[in-house]
Formats: sequence, structure tokens, C-alpha cells
Amino acid sequence: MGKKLNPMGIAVVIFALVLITMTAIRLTGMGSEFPNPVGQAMHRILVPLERTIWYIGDGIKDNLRAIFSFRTVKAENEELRRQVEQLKSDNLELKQKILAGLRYEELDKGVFQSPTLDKYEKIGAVVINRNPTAWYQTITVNKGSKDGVKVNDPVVANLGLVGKVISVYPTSADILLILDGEGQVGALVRNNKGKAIYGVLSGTYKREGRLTSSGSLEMDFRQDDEVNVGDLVLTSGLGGVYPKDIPIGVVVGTRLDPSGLLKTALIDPIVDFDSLEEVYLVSIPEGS
Amino acid sequence: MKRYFIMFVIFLVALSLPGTLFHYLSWAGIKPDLPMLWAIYLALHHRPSQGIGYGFIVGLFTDLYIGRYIGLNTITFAVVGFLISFLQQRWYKENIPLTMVLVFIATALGQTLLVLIAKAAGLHWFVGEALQIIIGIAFYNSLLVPITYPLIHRAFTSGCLYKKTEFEQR
Repeated sequence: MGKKLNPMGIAVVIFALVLITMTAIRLTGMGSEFPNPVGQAMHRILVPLERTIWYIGDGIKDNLRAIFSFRTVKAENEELRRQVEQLKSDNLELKQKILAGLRYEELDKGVFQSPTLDKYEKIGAVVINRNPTAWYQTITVNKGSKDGVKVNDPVVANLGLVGKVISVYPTSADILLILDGEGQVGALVRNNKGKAIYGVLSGTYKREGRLTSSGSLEMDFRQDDEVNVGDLVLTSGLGGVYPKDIPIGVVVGTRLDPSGLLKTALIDPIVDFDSLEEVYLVSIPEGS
Repeated sequence: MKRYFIMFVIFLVALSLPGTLFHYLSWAGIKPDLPMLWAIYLALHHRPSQGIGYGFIVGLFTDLYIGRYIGLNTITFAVVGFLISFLQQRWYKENIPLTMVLVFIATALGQTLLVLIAKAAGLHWFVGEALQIIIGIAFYNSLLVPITYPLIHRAFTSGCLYKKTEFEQR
């Protein structure tokens, strides 16, 4: 004969569990720092495994692409052979210019040039994991607190803004992409007269066609704000996380709010998030 | 002890595959929830009191690995673990199509609970297409059953995950 369960006791236990869970979820949200030695140990074990799978997967993907586009590659090859002959003759003349070009390349280290970003140190990192669950738009990179990465550090690719660091482990870090609705960015749109209109940009993380997991970006404005297709969207520097003037995307359309007060600009991000392989973590000193 | 170690290794593999291998095999951004699938498999081979415990532990470690919203998967997996281990007493565990149905239902319930708890805790999750995502994950998890379940079931009934009874140990 088993012990009889007290319904009141069960109800109290369930209520307490729900309360504790809700509190824990709120306290350990995005960007919060709390001691997590177990999580860090698991990351230390899994990062080498994840990196290996990632490299193998990329290799297979690249090779498959070459096989499927064999005809195009062959035609391209023949065309290129013809061009090589032509180029050989131009080559000598251009060598002088190439040498000059190489000197300039020394100055340009590959990251896009932005006056606000140039003064910060940038850490190059490789993507080793994407979206551990279908509910977040995050990536994991192979640099962590040992390399000086901190929570809330902005992340850029060679063309524009990628997101911000939300968790840091000794040898890896999680980055929330701007496509995710959880992360919002203080942004501005420069219209064709050069006037800046400020707003908050947020990710929609919607799914589009098959085999793509692309999200998109949206920004709300007053209806009389002059925002047009083709306008460039940059970070505004307001909000404390992202430095000013990092390119984010281009306005591709506007949609009127049914109430007639607002309009929403649809923004196409400059960075191709689906094929992102390397990023730069911008190290912003404390208190700057 | 060896049994628990093997369970933990399988769990670690289940944690790392969705972000790596299944990135290439994702369909419209949807990938399986392997930790939840593992919690379901564990619960399928244990009593309700143990099923809830395994669900809780797998969920807690998943939360610690993800590193945020600690408690979200913990409570969800515990509920799923309890439901499954309760149901498995009346279910044909050897039947693959029936197990697929069970995994589909359990994953769909689990993911729904996950979204509800996230919304109740005030997280700004985009839930506009939650139904499609939930069904997508549940469908993907159930598709993996014919590949993974026979191996796991054999391991639990006669292989490395088989728990000897006290009589056998003597």
C-alpha cells in the first residue's frame, strides 16, 4: 500500500517550482553574467568536437557545390584560359601598380574602415556552431574570455554589423545575431538629403523559402519621416552597446501601419548571415 | 557507473549535433531538438519517478550548456520525462511507428510548453510562427526515431545501457 499523496502538498510544490523557474529564467537572461562552471566545462569538452564537425561539413559542402556546378565551372575555365593569354601581356605593365597596391594593402588589414571602430581593438574569430536550438539566432565562435572577449562586445563582419556577445566561456563565446527579435539595435537611417532619422531596429527572425533560415530586419518610423528604398541604415551609437556608424543594411521597402501613424521600413542586412564563417569581436574598454 | 557515463556521452553528442551537423541538414531553419529526444528515450525506459528525474537532469545540463534562461528546459524536460515514462507503461515500446507518434506528440507538447513558459517569464520570443516551428521540430525528431531508436532500445534492453536487477547482480 503506497503512501497517500496530499493534493494540497502537491499544489504547493508545483507552485514553488514554477515560481523558482520563472525567477531563474529572468535572472539568467541574455547578457546576464552568473557563475556557470558546469556550462564552461561542457563547452571546453565540446568545442573541439564541434569545430571538427564544422570543418568537415564545410569541406563536404564546398566539394558538393563544385560537383553540382561542374558545367558552369568547365565553361568558366575555358573562358578564363582565353583571358589568361590576354592578361599575360598586360601583366608586366601592371606589375608596378601591383607593387604599389601591396603597400596599401598593408595598411588595410581586411576589416572595413570605420572611424569609430578603428580606435578599438578587434579580435578575429571563426564560427564553430550555429543556433544550438531552433528558437535562437545565435552563433558560437572560437574566442573567449582568455582572448579578452566580454559580454556585450559588438561583433562585426568584413561588411557590417553581426550582433553582440551574450555569453563568454574561456575558449568560446555566444553571439546573438541582430536578426533575432531578442536583440535590438539603436539605429539611424540616412536619407538622400543626408538627414539622419533615429529609431530602433529589431530582428524578425522569420522563415522564408525552403532550405534557408534567413531572418530580416525592421524599423518603425513616424509616417511623415522621409525614408526611401535604398537608404542606408547605420548604428546610431545610442543604447551603449554598439559604436556609431557601423553599417547594418539597406532599406528595401516600407509598409504602412493600419492606424496610419507609423510606417515600418524593411531592411535587408548587408552581412550574409547564412555563409558567415569569420567575424571580428570589437573589444570596447570598460567605461568608454 | 559505466551506464551513467555512456548516457552522459550520448547526451553531449546530442547537445553538439544540432548546432553543427544539423545546421547543414536544417529545413527552413528547423532542426531537431536532440536533447529532448534523448530525454524522451530515457523516460521511455524508466519508471515515472525516474523519468521526471532524468528529464530534469538532461534539461538542467542543456540550460547550463546554452548558458541562459536556466530553468526553461529543466522544467520542460521534467514534464516531458514524466508524461513519457507514465505513458510507456501502456505503450508498445518495440513498435517503431508507434514510437514515432509518441515522440511527435511528446516533442510538440514539450516545445509548446517551452514557448508558454518563455512567454510567461516575459521573454521577447518571436512567436508569430511558433506553430510551424513546433510542428517542424516534432516532425524532425520523429523522423530520427527509425534511425536512432532501434539502437537505443537494444542498448537499454540487452546492451550497454541495460540495468541489471538486484537478483542478477547477486
